[in-house]
Amino acid sequence: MIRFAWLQSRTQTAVAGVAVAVVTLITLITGPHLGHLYSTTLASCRAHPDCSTTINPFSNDDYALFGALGVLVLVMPAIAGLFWGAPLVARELESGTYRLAWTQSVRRSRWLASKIAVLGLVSVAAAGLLSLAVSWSARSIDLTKADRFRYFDQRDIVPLSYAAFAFAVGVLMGLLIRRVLPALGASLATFVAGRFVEEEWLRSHLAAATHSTFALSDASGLGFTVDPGVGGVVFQAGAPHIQNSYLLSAQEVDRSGHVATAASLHQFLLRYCPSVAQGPQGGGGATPAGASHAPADPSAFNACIGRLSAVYHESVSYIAPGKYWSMQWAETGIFLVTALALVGLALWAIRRVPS
Amino acid sequence: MTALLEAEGLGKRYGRRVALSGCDVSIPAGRVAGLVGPNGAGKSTLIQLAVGLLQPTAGSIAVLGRRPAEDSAQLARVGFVAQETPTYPNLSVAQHLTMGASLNPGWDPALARSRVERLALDPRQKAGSLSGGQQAQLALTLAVSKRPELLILDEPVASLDPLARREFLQGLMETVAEHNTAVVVSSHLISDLERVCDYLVVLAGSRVQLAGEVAELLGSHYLLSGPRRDSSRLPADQIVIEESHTDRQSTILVRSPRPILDPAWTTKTLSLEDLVLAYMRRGGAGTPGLSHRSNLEVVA
Amino acid sequence: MIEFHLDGSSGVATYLQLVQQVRQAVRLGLLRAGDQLPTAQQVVAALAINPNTVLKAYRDLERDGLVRPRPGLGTFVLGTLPGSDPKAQARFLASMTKWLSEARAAGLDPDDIEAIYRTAFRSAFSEGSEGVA
Repeated sequence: MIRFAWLQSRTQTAVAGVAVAVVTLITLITGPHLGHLYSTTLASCRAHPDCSTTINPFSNDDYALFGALGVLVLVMPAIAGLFWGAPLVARELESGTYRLAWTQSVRRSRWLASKIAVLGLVSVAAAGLLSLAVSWSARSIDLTKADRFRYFDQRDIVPLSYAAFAFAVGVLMGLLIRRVLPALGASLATFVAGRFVEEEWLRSHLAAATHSTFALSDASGLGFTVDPGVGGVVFQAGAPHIQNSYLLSAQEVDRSGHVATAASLHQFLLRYCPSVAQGPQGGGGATPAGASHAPADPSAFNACIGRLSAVYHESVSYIAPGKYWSMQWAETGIFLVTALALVGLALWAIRRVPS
Repeated sequence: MTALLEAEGLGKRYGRRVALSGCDVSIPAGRVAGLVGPNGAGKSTLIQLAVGLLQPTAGSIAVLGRRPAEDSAQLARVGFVAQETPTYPNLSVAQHLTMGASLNPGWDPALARSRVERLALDPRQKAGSLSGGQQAQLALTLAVSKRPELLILDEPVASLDPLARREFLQGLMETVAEHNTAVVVSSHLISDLERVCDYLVVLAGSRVQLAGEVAELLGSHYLLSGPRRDSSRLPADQIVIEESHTDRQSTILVRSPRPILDPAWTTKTLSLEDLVLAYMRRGGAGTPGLSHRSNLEVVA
Repeated sequence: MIEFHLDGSSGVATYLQLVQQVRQAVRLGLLRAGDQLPTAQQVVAALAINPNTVLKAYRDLERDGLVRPRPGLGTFVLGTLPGSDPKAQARFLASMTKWLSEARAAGLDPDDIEAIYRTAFRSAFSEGSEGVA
């Protein structure tokens, strides 16, 4: 049975092999060089405040390649998983060849298990090799950027689990829907939904968060904007850049730990920074809502910041860099277990299809 | 000996649509059995139930004494050729044989190879580019080379030209002669079945209308024609299958255990085709209740 | 070796046709003592019929004393039909041929000739006049 499963998967295996070989070649050729370019560019940017005027060795094209390789790791295993999983059963059902396959001397569940094992292995291995190649080639840029969690789902081991998940979803949908194109559509929707749920809601709970407070002056961006809900100017502070960490939330809080509402911030500004609260023209309303503007008077701006800092600071919760790998393992585990559960469901359901 | 196929009250429904109901049939061992009936009568349903591609919704079915597709040993005993003889279009003839060897512990590679040679099939040719007759022969080769005890075929020659049809049946009968394989084959072409079958099951209106040894069926049915007479005046052991009357003449098809001796009738035996057609008409017309009663009359 | 053919529209059972063709071949001298009949496999491969039909025909012929099966070797013709004299057959074949050419010369077409033959045959072999081999 395994022999025939390989025979049926020969095209997909060839495609996977070629894709992995091409990407590996690209990363081998460009990887180290890109890393070097990136760090020299960064160094020269630090020396000259206005980066755009100097001629950067790390061009937009290079950046595009770096980004593209990352997107490749994000997208290809998913596409492959869906395109190989959905037709696995659905094509046989749609074309009628299941009547040939299921009347040999092998039971349906064993037939399906062999096909899943072979093609699943190919898609997971291909995803792993792709991720390995790209992660390796991007490591020096990643180090320099010091923003590891930004590329969390394009690096290291999670892409393997995405591939497994996509494949398993495809197989089950193909079995239930019995036609290839609708199954592909349904699998894509389910896959995207699953990844969305994990990324937006579950990932932040995968490791214990660290809570810290920072002074307002450490914030990555400070400004005043008009908040239409409050009917006036409020203060905004961007979260501080904590290297290689996964930001969960950042809020302004007062000395007793209460979160500063927009209304209370507006009141504070009216009381302590009247010139700022009234906006650049000295009257309200002329500035469109949400626009950030540097007030005409920098000294009034700095004085206001000083008064705010005395009362407010930033409360930040984030996941520390040390937790990166445990999160990778946790997310991989979640998707792998889900994939196995879906495969189990498919193996159970195949005995009952067609009814 | 275990019956080839034994169905008791077998039924299959899809929601409100009934594909097969109240199917009682017992095909004895060692036969080449034909399953005949109009399109939509339930032949394909019965066959797919027999090979485990469908599950019954009522009653039971046993093939060679066991539930269809129960385990791999049972799967190995039955060779199947599906309607339109599906093959993998992108795999070559040789790769199909690889599939057979890979999926069947009882595979006979020498038999497969000799069949392919005799059929003059190019092993490297993709199945999708074979002619209809060649595809059918490939499907038959796959089914035969696993050395099954029973071959089940679902309208294997329906879309073949007459020459390909004849060649397919020749190949099938050769297998029966060589390996003593039993066969259950469905068709709506009665002439084909007449050549090869010694047992017949007639399905019409999703029910079994007639079943028995071909020689016995032909020898026990008579077409009576004579002056107009009411069929209820016939002796009790002559069962009326079909009757038609003009104002002067009656023509009655009866089933009788003994020859008809009444001199008033001109007696003729029927061809298998006419006999089958009469039973098929019986299944098509009338309410389900009526057919059911007629079914009992036939069995009695 | 004899080659069988089937007449599907004759209304005669297949196995009977095979029996009749063997008897006819023996009668005409096309099959002689010691000749082997085709195996069931060979007949079936040529005609696409049920092998049991062939076996039944051969069993009937064996019962009539015309053939004998030799296990592992095949089925073999035993001899001429009992009671048929090849010399008499040749004599009547000759007179029949002469009669036919005379009938044709007289302007009779094949249907006429066949009708004459059948009428004579029927009356010769009807209930009243038995005792023919």
